[in-house]
Amino acid sequence: MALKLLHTADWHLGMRFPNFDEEHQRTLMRARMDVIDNIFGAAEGADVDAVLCAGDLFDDPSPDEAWWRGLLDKLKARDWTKRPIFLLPGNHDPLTEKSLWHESHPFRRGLPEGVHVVDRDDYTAPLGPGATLYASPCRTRAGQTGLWKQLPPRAEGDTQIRVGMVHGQTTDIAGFQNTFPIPEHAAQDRGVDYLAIGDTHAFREVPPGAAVPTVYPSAPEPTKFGEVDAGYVALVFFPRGGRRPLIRKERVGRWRWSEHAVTSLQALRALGTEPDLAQRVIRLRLELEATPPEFEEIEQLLRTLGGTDATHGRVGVLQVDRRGLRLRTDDLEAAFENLPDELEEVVRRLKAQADVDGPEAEPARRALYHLYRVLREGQPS
Amino acid sequence: MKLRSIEVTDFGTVASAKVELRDGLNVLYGPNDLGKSTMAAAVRAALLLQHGSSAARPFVPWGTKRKPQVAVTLEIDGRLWRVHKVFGTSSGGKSVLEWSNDGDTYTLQEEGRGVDGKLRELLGWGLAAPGGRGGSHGFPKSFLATVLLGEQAMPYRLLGESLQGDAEDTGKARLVEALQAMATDPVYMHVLEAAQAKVDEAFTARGKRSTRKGSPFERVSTEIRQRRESSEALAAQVAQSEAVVARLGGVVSERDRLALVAERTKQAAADLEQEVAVARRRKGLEEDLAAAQAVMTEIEHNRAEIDRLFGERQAATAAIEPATAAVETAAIALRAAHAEHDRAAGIEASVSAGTDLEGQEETRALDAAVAEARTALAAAADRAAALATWKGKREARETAEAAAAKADADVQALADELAAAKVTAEAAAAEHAQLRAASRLAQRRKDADRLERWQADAAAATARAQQAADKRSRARQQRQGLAQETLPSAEAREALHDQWDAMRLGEAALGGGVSVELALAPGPAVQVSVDEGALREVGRDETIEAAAQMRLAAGELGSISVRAGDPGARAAFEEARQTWTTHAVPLLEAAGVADLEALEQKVAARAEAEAEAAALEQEAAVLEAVVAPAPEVADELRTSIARADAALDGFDPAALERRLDGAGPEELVALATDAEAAAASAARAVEQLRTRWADAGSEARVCRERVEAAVREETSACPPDTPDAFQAWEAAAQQQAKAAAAVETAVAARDAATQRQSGRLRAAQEAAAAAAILVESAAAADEAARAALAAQHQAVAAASAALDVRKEQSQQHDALAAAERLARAQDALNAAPPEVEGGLASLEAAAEQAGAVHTEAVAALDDAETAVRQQQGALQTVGGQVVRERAQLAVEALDNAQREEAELALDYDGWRLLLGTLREVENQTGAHLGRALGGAVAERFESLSGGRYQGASLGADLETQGVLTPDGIQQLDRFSEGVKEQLATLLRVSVAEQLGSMLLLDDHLAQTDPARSAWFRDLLLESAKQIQLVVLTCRPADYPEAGPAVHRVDLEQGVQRFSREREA
Repeated sequence: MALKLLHTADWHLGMRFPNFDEEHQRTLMRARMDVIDNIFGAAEGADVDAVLCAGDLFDDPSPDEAWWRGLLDKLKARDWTKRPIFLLPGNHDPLTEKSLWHESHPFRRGLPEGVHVVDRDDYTAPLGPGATLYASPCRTRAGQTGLWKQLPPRAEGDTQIRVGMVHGQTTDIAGFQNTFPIPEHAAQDRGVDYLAIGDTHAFREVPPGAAVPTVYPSAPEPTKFGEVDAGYVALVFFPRGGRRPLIRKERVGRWRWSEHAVTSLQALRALGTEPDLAQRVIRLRLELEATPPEFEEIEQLLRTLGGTDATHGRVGVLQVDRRGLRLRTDDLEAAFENLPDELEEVVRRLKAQADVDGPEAEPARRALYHLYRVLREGQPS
Repeated sequence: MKLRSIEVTDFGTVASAKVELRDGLNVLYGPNDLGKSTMAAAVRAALLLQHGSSAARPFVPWGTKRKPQVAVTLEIDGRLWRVHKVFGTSSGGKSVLEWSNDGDTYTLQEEGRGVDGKLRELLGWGLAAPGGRGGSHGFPKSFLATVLLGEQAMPYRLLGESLQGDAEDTGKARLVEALQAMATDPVYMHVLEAAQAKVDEAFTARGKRSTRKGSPFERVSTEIRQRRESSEALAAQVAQSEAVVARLGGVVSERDRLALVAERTKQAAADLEQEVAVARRRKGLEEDLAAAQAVMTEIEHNRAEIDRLFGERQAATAAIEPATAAVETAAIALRAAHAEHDRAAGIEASVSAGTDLEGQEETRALDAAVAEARTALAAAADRAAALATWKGKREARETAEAAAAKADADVQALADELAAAKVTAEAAAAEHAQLRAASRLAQRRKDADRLERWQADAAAATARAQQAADKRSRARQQRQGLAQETLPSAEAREALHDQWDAMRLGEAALGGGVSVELALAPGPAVQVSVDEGALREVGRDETIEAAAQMRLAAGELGSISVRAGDPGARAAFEEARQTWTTHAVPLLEAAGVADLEALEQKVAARAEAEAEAAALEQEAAVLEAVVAPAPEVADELRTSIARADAALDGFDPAALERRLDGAGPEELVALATDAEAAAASAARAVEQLRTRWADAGSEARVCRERVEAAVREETSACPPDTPDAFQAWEAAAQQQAKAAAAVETAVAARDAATQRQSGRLRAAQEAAAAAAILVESAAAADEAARAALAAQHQAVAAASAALDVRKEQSQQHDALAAAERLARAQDALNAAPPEVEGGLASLEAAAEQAGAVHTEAVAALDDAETAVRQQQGALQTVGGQVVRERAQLAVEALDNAQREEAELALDYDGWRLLLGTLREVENQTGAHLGRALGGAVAERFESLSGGRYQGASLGADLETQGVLTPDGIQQLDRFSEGVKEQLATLLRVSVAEQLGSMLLLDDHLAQTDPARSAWFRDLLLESAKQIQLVVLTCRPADYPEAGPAVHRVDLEQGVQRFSREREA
């Protein structure tokens, strides 16, 4: 093997998750830092010659100290002198005077030997015998000019392995015009043997099977629901003789994000038996009608899955949309047996409201469910 | 609760008064108009009325500006509370609440506005906390306040009230607790408590969502507010970013349009330049023709010169022959002179020797041999020279032939090279055309894509505009609807509340009661209207009672109107009512509402509608802020596409597709430019080769002519008897050498002979000297002849040299080539486009103008590029995709929070509905206070009426529904005011007993006969064992004398009226 590389991108350290509660926000934010150890471990496991980090490593060019110091500590904990690592500023964390990439920033000053920041438009660095990295950083959050054009074309007679690294959107993505566009022919045009890129969060070769691979390695942890093929890095092996490099998709992420529409109690029960729930971020949309006992079981299952103030849930992060959950009121006799006369009257009146379409119907169903719950929980001794 | 003291200053008609009260029955008595009711009003004001309320105005002593004051001491649960109020709407009013455990030392509890809140909390009478919208501006009302502190002549009104009208349920809760009337089922209680706890957690006492810290809605609403702010800020950034993108799209379109314009002007300038080049080429061809003609003229001149010089050389050559003959003659003469000299020398020698005749003979023979040898040598030398000349000519001919062969080979090689170059040039031109077509196709697709995007953008812009118009239309409709409403201002509404309170107070002040006992003789029917009610017929001996007024009508006999209250209060009420009717009612009618509450609801609804309209306008403004794509862009694109289609006609689409594969328009343009350069380069190579080929042809022809000349010269130089020049030359050289050797031999022999005859020579020396003179003269003649010959030879050489120069010049101007060049120039000029009208100068001026237009177009394009770069720079700073991603997250976060709020609201609405339903059912089936209290009331009412009445029908909230009689429940309006007064007093006493509370009775039995008054006296004595009773009466005799449970107070001793003060 002539050269081995690990290609990663889009760590988004410091990214916030405002649509989750504080506890889960913190869990998901920390997961972005935790996965760095897996990435570095994968690099060591594969004994790569170098690690390429293709931008958006931070969610903001001036993150809180906790984030840059956390990464700095992880970088300092390893020896990079024989396995250099290259950090590329992306459009989320562009290279500016106030960014942490600037030479005056304590993060930059504290980087250990072997950790390199791509801080020039015509950046080059040796990756090993007969192999060179060419890279160019983002200096703004948006741009209509592809940074790939900054990479020098292959000179005549140059037979070394050339690896390019830029950040931006490939032209098959909607809205690419303003995010440092990268056309399909960029790699071939620049005469590189592999073009390492970052920005979108799914693992992709653009286009698949091209003579010269252009690869998004994906975000090592997903950032939102709906992201597919996130959670990976790319291990890139360059055979001798100038043949096309081999690319291996290596999983490093811990969390898997998924959305589920639950239309029956059985489906919810089945979900509770799925493995690895502790490493999943799940959004449940309840779309079913339930009798009071079923309703209570649903609540109990959701407590088991999502946890409470006092207990951990089985699911790592659970988000529940109950708007589609309805109480069935067609058969309440079994749920409300042997009630005092006054409470029977209460049930009768609430049911009458619940059975008439209108704004009071749903509060009436809730009231019935509350009553059922209070009765079920019993009178304090 | 018990009253311990009442102290009044400047309150209504009372200048000052102080009364101490005890447990049991307190009878405060005095004559009418002493101020008893004022004392009762003072207690009510101290406990219920805020010191700044306008309702306290009637308490200001007439004709003064004094501030009414009252201090009341209460005992509640063993602790003394002293409340002191000074009433005044300006800064003069004040309230103080203090407490004491020993009655001596008081500690401040509250002052100012906090006093009434604390008092109402202590009393627990179902009174709302003061302040806030909807709060009472005058005396607050509650069922227990009416029961325990009821005004004079008002008790019967109690029968129309109930706990349901209370603002708070504390009064009912106290009664329920006291009467133990609650449903006692523990399950029901548990559910009720759970629901109540949940409702208290999220709602205020008035049913609004609680905003206090820690409440569920406070947390989620704070979150929503923060997320909305964040979302709106990010949406603004996105809008800014989108605006920049839209502007960028606009300037890019403009840039592209200007690029097209620049391309067109460039093409126009290039076309004119091409025409100028053609014209210039024609001019060059004309100059070439003139040059070729000049060359031909020079060639002809050279030819003439050559002919002239040739003639001159021939003449000089011809002159050489006589000169040569002269030289030969001179040489003969010289030789003769030499011979004479030799002979003289011989004579000298013979003279000197005198005898050697044989030697003389030998010498002569030897001289002859030498001469012969020299002659042979000269002949051999001449032949050798001729042969050498011929050999040189032959070598020159061979050299010329080699040069000609090489020139022919060069011509052929260049011809091959030219053919290959022509093929290359054609291929390059075809490649250029293909790439240019592919480039145009790529550009066309790009334009088509952009046109499609433009159409999508235009459709989106139209949709946005429609949405914006809809929103503006809705906002406009809403505002038009609002504009049609006429609602009073906040100040006006405040004034309306004050007017309403003034009217209500004035009305209350009239409630003195009117009782008319009729004892009519038979006659016409009499009808009565009570308190502005409908007329009804009355009995002949009926007692009619009214609260404020009544009117009796006896047909034609006329009518009698009776009104209660003093004239001043009536006038005040009429004034307040008039003010209300003339000022407030029109405002309410204008607003289209019936009362103040409806007005406030309408004001709130209007505020919501205005906010909604503003929100719609803001949304419309956001939609309108996005710029629509310019139509010129689409026109330009369509024009460009049509031109591209025309230009692409005739090209193989499949071939162009292959060209397009993997290449963008820019790359194709670059490739086409390269191909164009390659084609031009190939064409130039062809031209160069063609020139070189023509030059080589000329050179080859010159070489061939040289060969021919060399052949001719060789032929002329070749001796006719010498077939093999080389061998002949070698033979001549050998003969010359042999002749030279023979000369040497002969000379040697002669020299030997000469030596032998030296003696003889001396003798002949004189003769020889003479002969020498002869020789010298012959030699001079010979030299002259030779000089003449040399001159001729020089003349020939000069002519030959001039001829050579001319020939060389003639060779430089190959006649054939010059003729061909002339013919080509003529052909080229004939084939060239005709001379343009106006000439080259006008064409150059047009080209210059086109160049200037193109320069302007390029400058405009540069400006557009600058604008594009500026917008790109702006885009770099506004955030682009980054801010869009964050805005999307913020919107999702806001949606989640709103969903959570909706879920929370639904959950707590469920709890509230459950609680409401529980209360509703409880009221109807559970806590029925009427049943709990009804027994005590019934027993006393039956005793009072001697069994005539069996009790009162009381509702769940103690609303009096009727009187129980043996015939069933009878409506209250069927009973006299006295009966109702008695029933109300029974109810009040019973409630006070249940609560263990003080009861204030102010002339409560004004309509009651003495017998029943006595019954009530006993009742009060009995009740005074449990509770404190304070009775204000002008009939002290109706009450027992002082005793352990009776405390009598003569108010004439403790109360000072203003009139008396003035009298004093």
